[in-house]
Amino acid sequence: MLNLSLPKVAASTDELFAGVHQFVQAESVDDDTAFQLTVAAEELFTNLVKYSRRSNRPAEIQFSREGEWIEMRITDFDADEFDITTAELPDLEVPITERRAGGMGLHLVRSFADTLSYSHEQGNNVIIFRKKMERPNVHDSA
Amino acid sequence: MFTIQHESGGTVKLVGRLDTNQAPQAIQALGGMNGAVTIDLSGLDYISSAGLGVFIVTHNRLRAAGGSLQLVNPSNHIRHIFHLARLEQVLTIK
Repeated sequence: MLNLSLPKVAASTDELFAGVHQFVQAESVDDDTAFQLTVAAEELFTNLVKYSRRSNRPAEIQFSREGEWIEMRITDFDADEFDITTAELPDLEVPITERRAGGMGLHLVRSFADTLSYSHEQGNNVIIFRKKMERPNVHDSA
Repeated sequence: MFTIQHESGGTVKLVGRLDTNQAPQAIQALGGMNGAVTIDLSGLDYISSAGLGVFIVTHNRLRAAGGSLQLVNPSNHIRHIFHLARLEQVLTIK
């Protein structure tokens, strides 16, 4: 398990990447899952940096593994409600000249998650991203 | 780490991680290129939506000026991201 407490500023993403790397190494997470977990972590945290401005409290990000399942839990304290599981996604069918990167990150997160949940608890937004490892490392299953 | 290397024949090679912190630098660096641009992605380890935005912006800028953008040699991870974003059909990726 790994716990991070990160100020919601762009400079924190380097610490986030280092944390994800440390976690996937310690838990022998396979490359495909590690890549997707890293993307999901960046996209979700970047959303907080850009849009969650009600509070300056650092966000808490917890990574854990249970068997073949990887979980990332993000808590944004004193935050306005924003349900990422129902938020509108960009239209991916429009011509490329009309495409924008905005919203695409959320599309990637939803694509990578096996389960994705959102709750607003006591003024805090809690996102739980869960993914089953695609190829658990051989030495880890012995 | 992220670097942009200028190779022979006008090809540009991206190396490292194209994430939200590196995307502005990449847009700026690629903004100086014109005509038929080929970008080698074989050295790119990681990309997020911010990185995809780099290629959308660059593609649209080049096309508007009569140029083109071709992406070559992406890893399977990178290609999968392009596929999920449905950019595989609209960008030239080899």
